[in-house]
This record gives sequence, structure tokens and C-alpha cells, in this order.
Amino acid sequence: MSSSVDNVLGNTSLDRFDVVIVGSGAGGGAAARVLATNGLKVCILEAGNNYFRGLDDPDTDMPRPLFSNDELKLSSRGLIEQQAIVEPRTFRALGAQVDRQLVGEVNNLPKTVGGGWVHADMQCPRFNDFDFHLHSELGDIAGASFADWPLDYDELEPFYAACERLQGVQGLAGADPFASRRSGPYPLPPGPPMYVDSLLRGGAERIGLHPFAFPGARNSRPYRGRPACNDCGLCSMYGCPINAKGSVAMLRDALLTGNVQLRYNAAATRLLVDSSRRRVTAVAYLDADGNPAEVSGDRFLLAASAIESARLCLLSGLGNGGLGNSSGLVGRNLMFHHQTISVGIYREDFHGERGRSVTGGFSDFRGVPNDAQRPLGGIVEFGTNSEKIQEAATYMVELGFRGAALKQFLRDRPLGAHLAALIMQGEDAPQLDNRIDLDPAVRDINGLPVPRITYGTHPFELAAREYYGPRLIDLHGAAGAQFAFVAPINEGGATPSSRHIMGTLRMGSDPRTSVTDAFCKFHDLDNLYSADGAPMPTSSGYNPTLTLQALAMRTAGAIVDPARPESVIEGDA
Amino acid sequence: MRVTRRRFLGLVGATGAAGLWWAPGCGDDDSTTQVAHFFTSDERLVVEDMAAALVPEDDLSAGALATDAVELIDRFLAAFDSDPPAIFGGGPYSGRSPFPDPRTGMPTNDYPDNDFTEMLPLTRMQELAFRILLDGDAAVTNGTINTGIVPPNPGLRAIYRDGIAALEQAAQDAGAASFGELDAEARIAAFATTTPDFRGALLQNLAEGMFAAPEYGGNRDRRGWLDYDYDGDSQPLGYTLFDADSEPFDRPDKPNQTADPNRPARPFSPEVERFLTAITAAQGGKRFF
Repeated sequence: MSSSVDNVLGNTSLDRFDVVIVGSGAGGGAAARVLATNGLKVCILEAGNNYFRGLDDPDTDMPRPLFSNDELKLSSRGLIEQQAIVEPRTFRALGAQVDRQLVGEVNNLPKTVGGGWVHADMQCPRFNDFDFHLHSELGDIAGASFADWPLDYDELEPFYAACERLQGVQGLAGADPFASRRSGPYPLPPGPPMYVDSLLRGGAERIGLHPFAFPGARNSRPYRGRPACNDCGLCSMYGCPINAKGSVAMLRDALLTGNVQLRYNAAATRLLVDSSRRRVTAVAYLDADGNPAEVSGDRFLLAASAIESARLCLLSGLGNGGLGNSSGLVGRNLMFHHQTISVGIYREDFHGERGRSVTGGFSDFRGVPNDAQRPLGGIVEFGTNSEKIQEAATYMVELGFRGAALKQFLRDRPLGAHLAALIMQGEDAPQLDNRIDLDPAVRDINGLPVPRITYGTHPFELAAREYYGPRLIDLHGAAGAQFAFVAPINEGGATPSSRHIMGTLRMGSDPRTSVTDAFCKFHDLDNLYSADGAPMPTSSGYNPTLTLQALAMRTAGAIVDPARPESVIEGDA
Repeated sequence: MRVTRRRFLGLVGATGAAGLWWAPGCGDDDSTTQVAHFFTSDERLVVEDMAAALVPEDDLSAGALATDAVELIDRFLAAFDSDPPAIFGGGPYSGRSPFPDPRTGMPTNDYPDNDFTEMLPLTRMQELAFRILLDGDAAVTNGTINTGIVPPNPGLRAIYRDGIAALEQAAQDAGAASFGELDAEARIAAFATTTPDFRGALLQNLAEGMFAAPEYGGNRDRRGWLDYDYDGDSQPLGYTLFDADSEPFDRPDKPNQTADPNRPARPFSPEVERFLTAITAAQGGKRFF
């Protein structure tokens, strides 16, 4: 089934599709696997390029990625990133009475076959039981729009388990005392902890916390045809040179069924609808040469990320009270994680270029709802710095050191090998006016309006920052740091740094207060679904990808068997 | 890690075999590849003189000159004179690190070819992005689509040409016959008179030139990595080794899970410590000792 046609992977002879998926990332790949293994014919449109050679080749040596331990290529020059110079986004702070305050890069996710799941370091915690009914727990909070999910943890659990099994998530069941119940163990044991993890784990234990091996979709042993991770260090923000990450595991399964055609360098520009205005008939896109093209199908899944999926709706007239948007909520309730990052500087050299970015953490600071003692925060990751160019540029460009002083910083490496980071993925309260819409004037190089992000923080996440920030500093002290502080947030002038993007096509059972239903189908359209982070009503305090994949898999399962979506997860694979 | 007697002997055997454990492969030599350059020889000298003042040589570690950092910049600015453009190196391996033995986990003498020298073709969107970055927004169709909202982008090549001219002008104003006649302090003073775009570009590109993979032209003899405690690329060996019949284990020469005896804990130099004390105080943090 290996394709030799330019910019196409999979079965090139397919020309009629049951389902068209926009986006080949974490959600699109999970959905495609369920659909294709159940015999549906699927077309995937991917705006970016393919760097997994032989992704559709059944040979066991495949795929052979073109990624490498090359900081210049992946990080500085952005091989798999959306290039803001031709595809900018714009930003303004919530309440700012201007069209925009920034034009450029705003929370970009990779644009490549495999999507954001390629550059991720593959952290895979599940959400917690209470995340699915947080509005009921908390009640109304002024200025926030918390909502219960139209499903509960138990409904999602089989899909969580399937995503873990199919991608090879390493972890230790029971190690996180705050995690919700599991139907089985992790498929793979944890890999070796990094040196920085060992030190921070000791500090966490000394102050009474419960650290554990962070679950992640990186093989700790050879698994499902992929090699074990050898801890090459350049993991977060990099594609895996040996395909030990599960980034495209489910996408490859889908391609190997013969039921999938993946057109890459194919950027969706518009959804076309029929005269009833309740059915999407086709997706218009620009092909690899920039020429307009279309693909039609019976059903359509948006899996381009919460920002790009909402943008595509708005480009198609699905917004501002228009088609498919009777709730008026398309693009609203945009959420990121409010990351509270505490930097510790140690005399120890953490050699962060060895390992896999993050191997440990704890979820004590996620907390529980309505705890009078402390607010809801988020899971905390143990990190360090693995990049060299970026470290040097910090001293040279940002801090302005020159000459002999610069040499001293380059040799001492205080913000490189000696830096440990505690990263709390704090829950971001949903707010109606945190949103994406189309910038009124700024265009991408193809002439299309770019997404404009309007965002401001809510006291909810600032309270968590204020409460847990000093405790993160104390953890550094207990772990042996010489210095520790909480990195500032750039309120107003810039965007949240988190690449966890959620909301914008909120799911719910009431069409007046949500865009999509309990199976992520648009209330107002008969055949349009959301299959990325966009349907999430709340952001939780855990890395979101496994949850968005489980949701996408459940949506695909419901397309195959509306009565029992969990029964078709495996299909005929 | 559980160290069995067999494992222990295996490690001793491997580390004892001189040259086997970490013999660099053939990845550094790109002399057979045709490379394009941008600067005239005079321009190149000015950039090198500037770079030498910003990141000087000393007895302890290489600076911008010994790492040949400017060579990376010179090639990048001429990226489109090659086909494919010299922007993204290939992958996955450089040939500097060997394949592991699947039975013992130990490094073999089998080194992969150097893929980094095989530049990747660009997509349409990547080509547009890097054309604008290097040649300016007027160089491509629709490049100026947001004129009036974002400032014009003259492109890096023009930014460098103008920046070099400004440095030469500053030298003339100081009464020097050439920029290279200025001492380091005067060069840095001249640098401060150039545009923020030039300063930002040169500093970022020098960081790249010193520390990027050598295939891009800089980091000569891996001095940027060797002199500044950085391993560089490690695939396909990596740091966690696997053999046929035991748990994964660390490389003895470059441990992952524990402190590296070759990179021991050490106090910071007084000026770095002063800086850390200041930023910690400014951010309301704590100094623990």
C-alpha cells in the first residue's frame, strides 16, 4: 500500500470517501484508525509535510523518519512548525480596545503529518473523575464559564485504555495516588528516570508529595513494531529520529488497512455545504502547489487543533450567528493551560541532552474541588534544558552579555545544564470572551484571514499560581537548589506559552450553550464533527492529548456503531 | 539498574577497548560538498572581527572564530544558491554515533552514513517563508500582503549588508582605516550603534554557528560542544542501552540517570552568582545557600 504519488500516502486509488478528516495529528490519527479498521473509506487532509518515510509501507523497518538530533533544523529553523512569517496569527489581551497587539507566532502547533503529537514529549496522564463534572462541583464562578461534560470518566475509560495500548504508553498503575480508576495496567513499564528527575523526586518526597514516573507514549521496550526509546535527549519539540514515540502509531495502523488516503501539503480553506445548509458536502483546500482543490465525502471530522478547526468554521461562515452556530459559541471558551513554571538553579549538571525531556512529576497540586485549604492547580512535570543554541541565545540575545562575561555564562551554563524546571499545568478557567475569531485585516500569504486570539487570565488560575508558586520554590530548596524563583507571566503583552489548546467548539447536551453534542457532532449540522481539543468544556490540570484522542476515538466509534462505540475500537486491525 | 557479573565485565570490556566506545564517525568532513557563500571577502572579515569581540577566544574555550561560527551565517544567507536550499539538514543520523549491538546493547563499529549533509527539499510554504526571511517580503508574491500593519521586512541579507556598512562607518568615524583595527571594546561600542534587527540576527546566528551541528558550517571540530559540556547528537546509540536479556541500562561513559563524573557539581563563578542572586531577588524567589 506504499504510495509513490507525490504528497499522498496510503491508498491512492480511493476516490469516494465515507469520512474526510481535516488534520492528521493526535485526534485525526485516533479517529482514522477506528474508522479504517471498521472498513470505512477515509481521506485525511494534512496542511503540513510528511517526514516519516515509508509511513504507509508495511515493511517492519518502516517508517524511517527524517528527524534528527539537530537543534538548528527542528528548533531554530522550525522544520515542522507553522512558519509565522507566512502564516502569522494575531493576539490581543482580553479587554484591549484595539484590533491586535501582536502579529506573528501565537501558540503555534506543528504543521506536519502527525501534527502536534510529533513534537510532543508524549505526556499521557488521564483527566480526573471530577474534571467531567466540574461545574456541578464548583457552582457558578463570576466571569468563568465552567460546564459539566456531557459524558463521564467511566464512559471514556475504555477509549483511554485503547489509546494507551495502541500507542505504547509507559507508566506504573497506582503510582499516582490521585489518578482515577483504571481497567488495567499500563502496557509498558516506566523507562529510566533522568538525573534531574531523581533529584526533584527526592525533594518532592521530603516535603510530603507523591512523585511518580510520568506516563508517556514513548516505548520503554520494543512494542508494536517500534523500537524502545534510547533517551537521546532532544524529545520535546522534536520529531523522534527512531520512531520510539507513538506519534503516528495509530495513523500508521490506519494507513496500513488500505482504507485511507492521506493528502499532505493540503491546507483546508473552507467547508462547502448543500442547499439545506445542514450538510457539509466537501472541503476546499490548497494543494502542494497552492492550487485550489476539493474532496467530498459523507461525513467530516475537524482535527486541525482547537484554533485552526475553529478558524476553518469561521472561514466557512460557521460563526458570528451564522451557519452551524446557533449558540454563537464557535471560537469561544478558548483555553490554554496556565503554566506556573518554577526555575531552580543547581550546582549539579543535569546533562539534559540525555533522557526524554520529562520522566517524572506529581499531581498533589491538582488538588480536589472545594478544598477549603487550597485551590485547584495542575499536574507538575520535572524538566530541564536539553538545547544548546537556545541556551546560548538566551545569554547573548535576551540577556545581552558580551565578551568575557558571555564566555563565563557559556561555560557555567546556569540556565542550561544547571537549570531544573517545575512546570505546573494549571487549569485555565473557561471564559466566554477568551476566543479566536478572524483578524479583520491580517492575511496569510495565501490571502486568507488569520486567526486572532483574544485572551486574558481569570482570578481562578491566578489563585493557583499564587498558592502553588511558593511551594514549587520550596520543593527546589528541598531538592538542593541554590536559587529558585517563579518565572513571570507576560500578562497583556504576549500570549500564554502553553501549547495545550482547548475549547472553541464546546461540547454539551444543550444546543443553546454548546456547539457540539455528546459525541462531538455539531448540533446544527448532520455530518460535521470535532475531533481535537476543541470540544473540551474545561481544560483540567493534566496534559490534554490522551483525553482528546480518547474523545476522537469515541466520536469515530459512534459513527461506526452509535449504540456501542466502545465495541468497535479494535475493528479488524 | 541491576549490575550482574556478566554485565559488569561487559562494561569493563567495552570501556577498555580504546577508541571503540566513543570514536567519532566520519560525519564532520563535508569537504566534498559544494557550498555557496554570501559575503564578499571584505564583508566576511568585518563579521568575523565583530564576532571575535562578541565571543572572544581565551585559554579555556573556543570563541566565535575557532568554532568558525561565521561560516554557518555565510552559508545560510546563500541558502537558495544550492538545490535543495541549504536550510534543513537530512536525518536521522550524522554518523558520529554508532549503532548498538542488539544482543549486548554495546556500541558497535558500525556507524551510519551522515544524513545531515543531504539537505531536505522545501515545501511551497517553507520556501516562501525562507525567501522572505532572507530576501525580504518584496521577493515573493503576496509577501507584502500585510503592509501598513506590520513593518516592511527587508530580509536578512539586506540587514547584514546594512549592518556591516554601519560597522565600517563607525570605524571610519573613529578614525580607523578598517573595522579590524578597532579594539574589542570599540567594536562592541560600534555594534551598539547598529540596528536592533542586525544585532538580534548576528547574535542569534552566532549562537547557531557555535553550537549547531557541524554540517551547517560552524561548530568546527565540535569545539562548541566539546568546550562547553554538551554531547551533541547521539542517535542511533542514544543513552539508554538495551540488550537481549536484561533491563535497560545506562552507558558507563555518559550516564543518564545519575551525575556524570566528568561533569561534576561545581560552584558558579562570582559574576554568574551575582547575576543569579539579582534575578532571584527581582522575581521574588529564594536563595537557599
